[in-house]
Amino acid sequence: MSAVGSLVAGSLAFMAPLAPAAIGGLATEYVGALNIALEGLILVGAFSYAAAGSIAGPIVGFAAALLSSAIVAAGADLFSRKAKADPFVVGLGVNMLAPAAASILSQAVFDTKGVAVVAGLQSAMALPGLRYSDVASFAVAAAIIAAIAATPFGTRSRAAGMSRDSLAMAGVDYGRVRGAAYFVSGLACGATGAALAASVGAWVPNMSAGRGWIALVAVYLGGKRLGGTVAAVAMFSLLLSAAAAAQAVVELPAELLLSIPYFTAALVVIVGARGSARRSARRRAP
Amino acid sequence: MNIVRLSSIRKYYRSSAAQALDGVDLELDSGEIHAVVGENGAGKSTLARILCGFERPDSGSLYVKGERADFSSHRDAERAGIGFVPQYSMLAPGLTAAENVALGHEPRRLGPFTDRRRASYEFSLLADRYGFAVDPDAVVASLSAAERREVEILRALARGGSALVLDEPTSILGEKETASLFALVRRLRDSGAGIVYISHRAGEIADLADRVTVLRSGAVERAFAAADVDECELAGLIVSGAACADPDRTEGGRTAGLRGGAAPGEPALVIRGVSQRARGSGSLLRVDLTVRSGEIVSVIALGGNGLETLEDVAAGIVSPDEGDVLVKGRPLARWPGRELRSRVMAYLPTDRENRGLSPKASVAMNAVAGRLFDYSFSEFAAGARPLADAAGMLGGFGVANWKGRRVDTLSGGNRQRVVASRELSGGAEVVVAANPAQGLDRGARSRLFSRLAAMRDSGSAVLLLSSDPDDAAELADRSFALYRGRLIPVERGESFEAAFSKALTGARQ
Amino acid sequence: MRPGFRTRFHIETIHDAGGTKAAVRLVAALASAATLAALAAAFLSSEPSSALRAFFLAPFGTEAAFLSTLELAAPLAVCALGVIVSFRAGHYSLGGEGQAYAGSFAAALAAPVLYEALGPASVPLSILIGASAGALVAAPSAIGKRLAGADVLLTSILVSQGVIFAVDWAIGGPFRDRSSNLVAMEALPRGALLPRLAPPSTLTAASIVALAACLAAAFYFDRTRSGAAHDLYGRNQRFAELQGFDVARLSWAPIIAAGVLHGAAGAMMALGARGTAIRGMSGGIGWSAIGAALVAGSRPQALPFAAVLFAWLDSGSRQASILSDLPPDAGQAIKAVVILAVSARPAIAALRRRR
Repeated sequence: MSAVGSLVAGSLAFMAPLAPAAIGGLATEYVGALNIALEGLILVGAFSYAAAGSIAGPIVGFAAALLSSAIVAAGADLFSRKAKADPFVVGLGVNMLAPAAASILSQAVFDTKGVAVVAGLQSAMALPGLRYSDVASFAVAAAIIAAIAATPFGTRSRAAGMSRDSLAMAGVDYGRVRGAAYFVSGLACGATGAALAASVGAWVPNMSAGRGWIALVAVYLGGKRLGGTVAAVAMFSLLLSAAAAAQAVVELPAELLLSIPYFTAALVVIVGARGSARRSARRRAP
Repeated sequence: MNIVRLSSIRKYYRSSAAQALDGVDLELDSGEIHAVVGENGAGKSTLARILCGFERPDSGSLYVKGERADFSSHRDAERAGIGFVPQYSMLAPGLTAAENVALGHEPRRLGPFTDRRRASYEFSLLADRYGFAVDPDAVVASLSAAERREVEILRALARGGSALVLDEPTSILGEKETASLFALVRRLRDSGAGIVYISHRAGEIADLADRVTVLRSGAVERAFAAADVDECELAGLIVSGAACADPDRTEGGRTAGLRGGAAPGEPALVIRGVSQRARGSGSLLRVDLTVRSGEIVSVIALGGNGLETLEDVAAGIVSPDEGDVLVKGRPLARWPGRELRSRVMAYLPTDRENRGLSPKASVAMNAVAGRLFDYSFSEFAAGARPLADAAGMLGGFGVANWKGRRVDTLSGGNRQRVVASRELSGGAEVVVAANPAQGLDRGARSRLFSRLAAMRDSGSAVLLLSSDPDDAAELADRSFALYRGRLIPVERGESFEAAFSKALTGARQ
Repeated sequence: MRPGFRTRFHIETIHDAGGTKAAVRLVAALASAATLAALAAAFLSSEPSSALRAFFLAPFGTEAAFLSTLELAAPLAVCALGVIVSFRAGHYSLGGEGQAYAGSFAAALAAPVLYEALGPASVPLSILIGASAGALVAAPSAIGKRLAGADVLLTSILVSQGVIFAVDWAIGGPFRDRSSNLVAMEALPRGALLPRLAPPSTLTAASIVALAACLAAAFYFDRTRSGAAHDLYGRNQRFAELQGFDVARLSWAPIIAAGVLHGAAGAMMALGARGTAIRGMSGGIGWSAIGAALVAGSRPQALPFAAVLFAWLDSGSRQASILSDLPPDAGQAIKAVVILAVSARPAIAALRRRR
């Protein structure tokens, strides 16, 4: 395979776990809520995949990942609505709780708080460079895209984000729409987590490694729109894949290479903000 | 036939500690236009919100066609045939007209998916039936105010139909659009629908209503057939103590704020050749305006004609695409922020919550915020002087009981007084006052206006931006109407109001 | 003092405070933390009584243990102060973790060199170096905000993540002390560390500095013009601009100030009990700091208590995991639940009514 070909295949492998989380972040962004708990939810998904998968096999594991993440996300949103707690704070709480809870449960399930390799959970290759779990992850992303782009749920979500009054006029409960958006966002992060765990066939503490934040950045860089978010995800995947490929070529340590996509993303956020500031300056100066 | 009946409705708002409704009865028959009138804060909007299922009353009952009903959302009200046209837009700006009308009731295809074409088609059918020509696939944000109003009406009619509640529907409409709205309302009435028409405009009600209910402080003060009173009497009922509207009323009784003596001095605020692009019809086109020391110049516009943009430009929030804004001969952008804001320019914004106040900060802090850095380090640390200053300023505008409270616990009127006490206590040389009287009761309004007049008399230049022609009539030395981004001078003469309404709606003089 | 002045003139803060008094939040936090710790000991450990004893008594059992817990609280309080400074300006900087880690690394790198040259006077200078490193990590967010209006939440977390990877590499690679089986830099000479005030406890001057910093910050926010402007800007930037405040400066300076505090906190860890920079030593301090700031209701004067509470959870769970089989992450989980509990308003309102 040519260098470009392998780069593209590599970025698909990076994209599979990133795409659902970003689309999930977009789903809550549609209702006007910033879901900063993506990172924690991915961990919930990854751990559930490994834990349930070790008992009942990868397919049940995948389903458990989707469901447990979705329940945690919707539960956190319900808590923040009913207890009038700031969603930002609740998101932080979830991000702190998820790794700690996973570590405690890991002790009980796998008898270790470190890496737990589970036999038979590593997904096989469906295509060169793409595992079955990656395909499933893409399928979840596609299903969520369809839901937010072409169903009443999507329209209502967008209406909720633009004007709650318009929802009240439609007799639709804002809380339910927001809850559903969080649920969907949880499903998406569950898919991301499962795909991560399935690619190595193990539970690794903190295996999300900042993907939740990258997903959030993709939503922002994509202008909180579907097409833009997908494009931003593709760009980041290419970046991550290039960083991984560079490891073989350049004599740079892995950790230093790993830091490059984050710095690049920060730079892109700043440059992107400057661009959009200029665009709006044409309409309204500072 | 009786469509809806409300009986002994009570509603208390904890956030503003106000008994909004205190035992209100209301009946609506089919084929009638029932006007509900009253001052700001009389409880009209609360009544509408309860009637339409947005809120539940604390006590009292609601009957639909004689049956006891309990609405838990607007959907329930719609099922009972009640549609609602709100005062301010309740549309999702980024969705299309058809999507807004279908929201919550979307037609589907292939299982879970929205059938967009059918939604558009149904919207077109509905629009045709009522003689509207809104593009179903136009995004709401790109529509004019009148077109948005049409979308709101279509949404109300799409599922309601037997009863329609209109909350101040003409406040953002011009004369032509108002006339066509009235025609529609009459047509609906004649086809058997019941209409609740909420307004405080005596002329409209005399024109339109069959029955009138007057609310005051949350209770029904009077209910009567419209034929029993004339427009003049009606005006007196809506605003207690208002002078009867005299057809040949002259400036005489209403110009307490007009200047008596000295001629205006040097230009203090100059807007020169300003053009500014903005969304919708809010752009400004080569606006020239000079406000000299010692005069009040008013610019009046109805919604969507560029008044907000002019406010932004004059207050220095936005620097215009073309042209300059000069304050005392110096471009606005070149003034050091602290000097401009704390000494030279006072600004009463339309958007008080976001520009005029820090709602979660204390009232005292809001009052002294503009002069924070006039205090020395130790004065501020000790706190006595800022607190005493706050007491002085707030007292001057009649804000009582403010100690230890946050601004967001005050009522709307008191919030505006906090803004006014900060901005108008310092004797600024230039005042930009945008819709300063909105939400104020008569007493507060006249106190504010006499303060503005006093500042003018002591040499301030006042630019009054308002969507209420009465403000100009009462206070301004010179007046302009803003129509589609252009300034049109309005001469103060015998038919001031007629000239205004022509200019505001773009009618040829 | 003018009686009652504070309540009259003081302005409430931060978007989640909701007018709840800091003391009430602290009580709620303490109550939920104690309950959760007891539950954790009872259900997660096979020897509940020794777990309980370790959790509740070990951190306070002896004078030395108590003072060591205070020492543990010091960097957390300083870090949380950074969170308050940036959050109260409306900048939601989540980069504390990377900033603190960079501070530890820079201080551990500079300390031996400075000690060689200056002797004991090197300690404050090393902390200054750590603080500068924190500021450097915060700089991209501050510059991005000032020049482009870039979202601080995103830029701070991204830069911080990148820095964590880079420092991991530096500590594990070129600067690793190969003689130790920890992945750590060379142990610092005794004299280059913060002097211990009451051996055998690990208490150092850091806790006094932290306390002083909290009080100074409380004065800044409650009693100075700049502090008031800072707060008003955080609530409503447009309003602050219309009052003529220096909004250009407020758009970046609090972010840098937070970086300085985070970096200083990291340096305190390296020059305190740890004695050098260890890989992964920041151990979630950035997130714990946000939690402590929330528990304190964003009031610097309440911060020492919140920080001690969190330090107790850390040291209690560590002790319990050593002395019994309680999972060591129980402390972290309890912190998370305490944050959730404190964020719920009805619970706190009920607590206040009952008072």
